[in-house]
Amino acid sequence: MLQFNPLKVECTLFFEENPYTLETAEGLASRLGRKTTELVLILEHLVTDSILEKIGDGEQAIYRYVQPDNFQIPREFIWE
Amino acid sequence: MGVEKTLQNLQDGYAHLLDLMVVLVDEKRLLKTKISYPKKNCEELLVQQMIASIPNLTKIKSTIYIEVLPGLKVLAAPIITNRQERLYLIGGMLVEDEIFDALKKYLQEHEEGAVFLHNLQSVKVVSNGEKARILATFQQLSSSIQSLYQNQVYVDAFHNKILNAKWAVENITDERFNLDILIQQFKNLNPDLSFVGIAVHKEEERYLIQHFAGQNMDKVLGIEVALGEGFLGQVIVTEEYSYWTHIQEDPRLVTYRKYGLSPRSLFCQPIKVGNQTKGLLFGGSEKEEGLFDPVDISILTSFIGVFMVQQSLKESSNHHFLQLSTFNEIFSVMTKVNNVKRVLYILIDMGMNILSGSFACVLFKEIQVQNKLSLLSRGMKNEQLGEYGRDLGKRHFSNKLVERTKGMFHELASGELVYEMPITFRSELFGVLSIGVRSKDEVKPYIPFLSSLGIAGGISIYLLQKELAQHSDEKLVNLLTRLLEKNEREKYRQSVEARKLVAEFAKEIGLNAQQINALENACTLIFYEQEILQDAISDKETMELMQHYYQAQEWKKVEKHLVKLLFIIFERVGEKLAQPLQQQLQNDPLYKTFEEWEARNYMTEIEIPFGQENDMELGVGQEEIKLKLNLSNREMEVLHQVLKGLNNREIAQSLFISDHTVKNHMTNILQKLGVTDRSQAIAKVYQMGYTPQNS
Repeated sequence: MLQFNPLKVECTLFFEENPYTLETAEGLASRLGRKTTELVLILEHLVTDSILEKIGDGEQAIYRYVQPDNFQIPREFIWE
Repeated sequence: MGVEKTLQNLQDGYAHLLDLMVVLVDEKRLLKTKISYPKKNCEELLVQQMIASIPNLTKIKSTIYIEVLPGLKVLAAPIITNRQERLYLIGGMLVEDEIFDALKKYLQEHEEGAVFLHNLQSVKVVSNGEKARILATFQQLSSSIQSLYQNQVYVDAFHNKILNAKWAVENITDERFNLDILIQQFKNLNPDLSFVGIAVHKEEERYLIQHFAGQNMDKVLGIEVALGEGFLGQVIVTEEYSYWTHIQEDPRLVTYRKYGLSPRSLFCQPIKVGNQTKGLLFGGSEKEEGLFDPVDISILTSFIGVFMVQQSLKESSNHHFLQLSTFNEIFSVMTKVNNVKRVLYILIDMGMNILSGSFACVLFKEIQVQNKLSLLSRGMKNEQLGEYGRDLGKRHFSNKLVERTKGMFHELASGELVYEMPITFRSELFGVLSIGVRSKDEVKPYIPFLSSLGIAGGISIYLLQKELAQHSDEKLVNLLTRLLEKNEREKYRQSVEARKLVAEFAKEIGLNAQQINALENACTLIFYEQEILQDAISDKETMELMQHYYQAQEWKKVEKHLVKLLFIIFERVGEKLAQPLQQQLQNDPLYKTFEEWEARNYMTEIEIPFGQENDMELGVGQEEIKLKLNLSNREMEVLHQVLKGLNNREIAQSLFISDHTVKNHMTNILQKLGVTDRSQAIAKVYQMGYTPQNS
């Protein structure tokens, strides 16, 4: 089954809008107006998807947004 | 209500016909109808005595004569109304003619016969033949009453079903209503049933028992019904109503006993929605032959089908609402971010979020670098990136491709499946979003959403590019204006004045911000040749306006509305137009509109303060400028000379003051105007709407 989780989307969009945020799960819960317990699982998912990076462990662990990798392709390759 | 009246009429009619008293009583001998009297009068006390004297009333099983006293007979017939109630039809009294005298003697001799003796005229004396006919007629009456009651039972049952159906239909939209409540209600209405349940279709050929009313519910819920196996599995295959009786020895019952169920009869009906079997309704009874009504069961399964469809529509509607609100949130953030890459990050992350993809990437055209495509990726192996990026580019950015708006599935060399979604807007392809997916079926419900996401991404990138182009044009136009200011003072003046007129008049005639921006840019650009500007302008609107302007200059004919306006304004600020162009414009309605607007505008500017004749020679609006900038009279005079284009020495000569004093005044003027040099001061004063008068 697909997982269309509105909280996951909301959490991702928060980091998209604030890409330089460094925040604990509790801090994020407070910013998003959610419960820490429901957010922790979502944050772990986002870390697994490599959308977020987790620095440290436990309650003091900090999450931050990871930009996708950039790879350049000269256009000539495409027209050859 | 109807049956009681009919019953009474029927009873009255037969009492008259038989010439007998007739009444209906219950098992406790209480009257259920009014006593129907024959032609002769009959005391109620006698009737009650008669009823009380009937021996073993409740044991009467058929229509018979029964003696209340030796020789004195009454008719009695049992009437079955429903399972809970049994009535008795009583008719009387009769005596056979041959024993009438013997009866009379008995009544006289026995105390209990006193009441009957007193009312002996109410006792019908009959012959043997007559007695038999009366019994047959009484039998007819009891049968008729029996039928009446049976019909009533049927009507009541039907009424109950209607009420039940009405209740279910009324509650279908109630949030608290569910299939558990429905089957419990069905079980209550059918006391023969010891359990009722629903097995719901899950995926492929799996059916799970999800609703159950009866004992051992905890054990039964969640049991899987295997296709073709057991009683229920058989119904999945045949797709037809089935019932089984006397099944206590059936080996298939072993499984049921395991879960604490021991039915002796069983039914099962498939729940169909269209051509699909969405579930099974089943029920069991501990009776050998349960009274299952196939019509009731069929109606119930139809209703369950409707409820399932309603639930599925509700879920689908919730799902769509969720998609819409999510899309709204995503689009809102996309429009807030201020660079293209961040829009692309959103697309990648949302693609992964929505399809639970293990990786996602976006191939996109770099805006400011020609012939370069870039790939942003998350979760993709580096060795795959280059090869896949080039392949994606070839397939989507080659000119051969016609259809660019629809997404498509693609299999990578590694065998992984991806869904590729073009990021487009107004037939321009900005990039391609590619998401790693597990199966096509998982993606299908989300294709419209992804398609909208692709377009939203396209719109956001388009707007950011447009904004970027406008900023780069703004820099270019500013530079060219400064060049004019340094080298072409008259042209610079014309440019500044034209810009002011354009800004005001364009708003007056309702041009949009993009058109006004293009016209303002053109106020500077028209002083430069086409070759210089070629490829330097990014804004589409400005580019088109300038192309039409150069074309009109060449052909001496103007077609575009905006270009006409540009010519009209430049003519007004002193630019000489070619004769054919001038003639064409003067006949254009826009010219008249502009003149009228200018006249209105001019009228407001020549308001002359009464009694201040001296100000007139200083020029229109001079007093306001002076007040606004807090200039002294002498500074105002110096400024006036500056505006005429005089240098410091010429000003000193014209005002008969020293160069040094002019310099001092100039320093003050620049400071009060908030500018750093003379040319900025001139521009600022013109922008404030001040036009010096020649004197």
